[in-house]
Amino acid sequence: MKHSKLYSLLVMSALLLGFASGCGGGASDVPTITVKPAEKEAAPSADDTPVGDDTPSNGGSKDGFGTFEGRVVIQGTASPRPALVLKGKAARDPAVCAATANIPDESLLVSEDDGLANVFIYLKKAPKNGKDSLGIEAEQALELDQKGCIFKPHAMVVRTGEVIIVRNSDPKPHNIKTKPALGQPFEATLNQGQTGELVFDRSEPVPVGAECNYHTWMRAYQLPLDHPYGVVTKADGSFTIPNLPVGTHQFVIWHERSTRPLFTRFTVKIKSDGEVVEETIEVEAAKLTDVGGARTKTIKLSLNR
Amino acid sequence: MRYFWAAFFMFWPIVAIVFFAISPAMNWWFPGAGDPDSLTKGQSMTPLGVDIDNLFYLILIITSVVFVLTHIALGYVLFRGARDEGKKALFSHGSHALEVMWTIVPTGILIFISLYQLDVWRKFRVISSFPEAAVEAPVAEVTARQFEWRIRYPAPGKKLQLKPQPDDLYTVNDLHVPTNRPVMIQLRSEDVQHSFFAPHLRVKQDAVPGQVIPIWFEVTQAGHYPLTCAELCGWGHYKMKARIVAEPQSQFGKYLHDLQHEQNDDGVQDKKSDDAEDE
Amino acid sequence: MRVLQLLILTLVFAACLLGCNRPESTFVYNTKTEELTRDVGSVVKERLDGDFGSPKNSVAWLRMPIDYGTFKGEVVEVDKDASSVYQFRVAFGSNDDKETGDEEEDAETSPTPGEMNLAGLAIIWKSGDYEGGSQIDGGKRDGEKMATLQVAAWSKDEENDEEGVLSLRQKMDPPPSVGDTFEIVGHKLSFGRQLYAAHCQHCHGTSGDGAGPTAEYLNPRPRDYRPGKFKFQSTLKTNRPTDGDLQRIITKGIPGTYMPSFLLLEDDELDSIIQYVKWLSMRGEYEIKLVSQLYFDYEQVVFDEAVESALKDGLEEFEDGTRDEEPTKGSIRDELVATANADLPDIAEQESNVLADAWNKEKLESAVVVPLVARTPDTAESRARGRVLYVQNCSACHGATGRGDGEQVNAYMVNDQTREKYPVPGLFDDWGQSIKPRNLTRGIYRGGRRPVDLFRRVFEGINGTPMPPFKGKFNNDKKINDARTWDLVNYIYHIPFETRGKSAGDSATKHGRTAASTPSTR
Repeated sequence: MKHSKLYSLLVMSALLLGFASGCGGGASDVPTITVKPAEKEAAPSADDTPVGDDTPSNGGSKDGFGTFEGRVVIQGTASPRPALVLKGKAARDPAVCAATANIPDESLLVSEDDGLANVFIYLKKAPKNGKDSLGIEAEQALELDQKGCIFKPHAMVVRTGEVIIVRNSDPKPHNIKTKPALGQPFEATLNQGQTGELVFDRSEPVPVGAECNYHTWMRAYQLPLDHPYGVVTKADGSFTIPNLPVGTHQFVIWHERSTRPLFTRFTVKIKSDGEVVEETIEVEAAKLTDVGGARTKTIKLSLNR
Repeated sequence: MRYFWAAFFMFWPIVAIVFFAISPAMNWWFPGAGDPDSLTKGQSMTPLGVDIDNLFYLILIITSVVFVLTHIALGYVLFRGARDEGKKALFSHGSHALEVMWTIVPTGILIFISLYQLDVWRKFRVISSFPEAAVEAPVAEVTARQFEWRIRYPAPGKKLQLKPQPDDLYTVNDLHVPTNRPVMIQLRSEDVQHSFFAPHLRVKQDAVPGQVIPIWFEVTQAGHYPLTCAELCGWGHYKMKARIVAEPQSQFGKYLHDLQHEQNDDGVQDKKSDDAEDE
Repeated sequence: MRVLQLLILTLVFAACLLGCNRPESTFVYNTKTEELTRDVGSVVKERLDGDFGSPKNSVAWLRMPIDYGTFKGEVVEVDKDASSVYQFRVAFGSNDDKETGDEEEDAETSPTPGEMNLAGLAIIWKSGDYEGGSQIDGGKRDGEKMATLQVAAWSKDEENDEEGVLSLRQKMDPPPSVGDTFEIVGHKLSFGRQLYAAHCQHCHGTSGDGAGPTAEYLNPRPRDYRPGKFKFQSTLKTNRPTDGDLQRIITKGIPGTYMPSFLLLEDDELDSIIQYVKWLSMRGEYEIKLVSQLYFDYEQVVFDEAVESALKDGLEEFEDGTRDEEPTKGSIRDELVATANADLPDIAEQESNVLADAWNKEKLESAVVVPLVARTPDTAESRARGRVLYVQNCSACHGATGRGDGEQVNAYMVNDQTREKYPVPGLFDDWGQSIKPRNLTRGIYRGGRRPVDLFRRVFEGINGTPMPPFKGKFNNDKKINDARTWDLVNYIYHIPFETRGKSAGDSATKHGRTAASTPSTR
């Protein structure tokens, strides 16, 4: 073809230029460092009172306490959960666990009149003018018992810094492990009769699950709070929170079968001293069967190593 | 540009010779050659390595002579062809004598080389020719794995066994050997093919999975020598580097004792001796 | 034809220029951070970027107990005539500290950069007009001053290691005075970043999330540092690892995994990498904790529901007369977002203090697990006692013969994030990977093979895995408990050498001793 010399010159220079683009070494990876001092400059500090979920309501006395009570009921029907472990078929210690009966799944306990048990109802932060104790707490120290290869009680609210005595009442060893989102994790391995002391150092946004590594079906939930305004519904779904200060409060309502809290801002207004707010909180059954599935990516690796 | 092609084909061999001449200065030659501060200054640190270097130089000289002679001939032919442009070429049907010559002579040279090097090969590769001292007391088992070198020493005073023993000492990427004594290592691979390459010691041996391959060498000068992998074994092949520390026997013995002490650390023994060391 | 040739030529040319593209490394955010509603999520990300920065522009937060690397120096000569300068002569080595006369100690307390490249490092003025930071106002936030002067270059004098010319990237107007002292901060962070990029990033990822480009081919996966959990540490499970633990892992590698040994790193390189890894871990944990406090309220789905119910309440209030303006969805959204963002500085303050405390050096050193008694001699009796303990406590996971095939590998674990059972039986670690109980017959001890390492694994368990702690379990008396732990350790060491009847090891004598029949242990 014509102009072949020009053409080959063009190609050569193009290639050379292309190769030369690799010159200059790798990307300049030397980072730039700025320094942030350890302490903030003394700026006018933000409001020191906890940013509570309440605002003093207009009209109505500022002092005084009311009660919030009611029932949590399930709307629709939830299919009963299959047993966690069938009789005699425990993967570990079958002579002790599920020896004479199935171990039921306690994650969805519905009473005959559709009451939902083990629902946590609590305030995230201590309310303004709140009390230090509601007067309904148990007298003796809290206990978490491992008996029959299940945790008893299945759900409880505790104060930060309060000691829960973990006991192993089974003839086989148990292990208890908690993984709170914010505070220190706790783990102890207990022989028959041994006890441990479980203390939560920080309040948590949602209840913390306790598990046993030996008997992997065992589960219980504890919610540590730095104030007393948190309860667990009873077997029939009923609850009561006395000594709630006057104002607007936003409760979190959480059940273990739903990955997200059922309500994050359940508003309760106490307008005057002695007022009783009664609510029947309805929860759709559909919300309780969805536990999010595999929202965290499970990495399935080959087990042949 | 009558002589363009003659010049072109003479230019590149000259470039090759220039590169050859400057290679020590550019650190393209034996490790440490051309660097006055280096430990080895291009010399091999093992006596066998010196033999290997001598072989290398012999072959280099033979091939260089052949290289120069053939290229002079080529250059002359090209030059003549260019100068006598237009002259009618000689139409040749081949020359039997020439063909015999340039078959027999190179064959002779190659046979010479192959026989000449047999002795060095035997010394390095034939197990029955390994020095007694090396075979009696192998120093360590070196297992190559992606991408490090795991080393197992026998306990001081014991002999290295094929089966790991409870008191064996383990370390990684840090092979210590005594100097001035033939030493032997057993080379294994945990996963894929690697190659045990210690350039300053002129030692190279592929590590084949499923085999235990003995390698011997005798280091004459104490120092730290790099141990690299010379068989492409994966993405980390380029950084599969370890160090060989050659030290006098007394220091080597002390090293093993220290290693044993550290490996038996129960967290309490050093505290007892008022050592400030933690863990 | 001509057109086609030109087209091909252009394409070839363009392909060759691909090497010119140099994408910048960035940190990735957690999935949970990304799931927050956008307005809250962006504020969280902004705070995170402000407190830790990006790989290219990093922030050395002095609150975190990390040794960022400091050089102290003072100005010795400045161009008097200039109204502003970019460079001036300096001398390194602090003049405040008294010379103890001990050369080594002095060198440690006031090191000089020598030949080091100081480009990009921060300079903080300790005396003179510029004391406390810089008068160049850049990046003030929440009343916090950030030092924004950076070094452009440092050239040392030929003879004198301590003196030379320091050039800055920014102009100093007016110039500093002779005798002003300063600190150059961050050489370990910068150097650590470069080394991490060269050695660690391809597995452990830019953010330390264990998801680098080569990570998907590895089993087990590289460590994700962000939760702040490290498996093989010498401290209690509730604590972080010490620098010594990290150093041991880096220099010895982890046998049985893809973590290689980096023994040949120089000491200063090793130290820089350790500080950088700690920094990445702190950044990751800070992000996780910040988001944990906000997630259950401000995750997109929950937030939308909250807006609905808040809107309902707001409309009620408007009708009651307690609210002045009629609320709209948008205004309610803004209100709720504003609450979160108002809370955030306090949350950040709280979490960063907790984090700084968790990594505090003295606290970690006092949390190191040290056995109360020396190791019991490795006798047959001790091993027999250990065997009894093993059968009682360990065989359920590790198997009767120690092969890691105990009955627990058939149990179904529950994922504590989703609270749903894993679809396959077997054990899982906290990072969601399947994990098998260690096969003790191989003699591969990942966390180290010293007796004290095995003791720690048994005593405290392994962080992030189902391996539980056995402290206090063998006996209520701590000393006896430790002595019995040593019996168990003695037995564990013995497991690879036990003969167990018909096993592969026995056929070796029949078929000749090859490598295949003698398992290599490391």
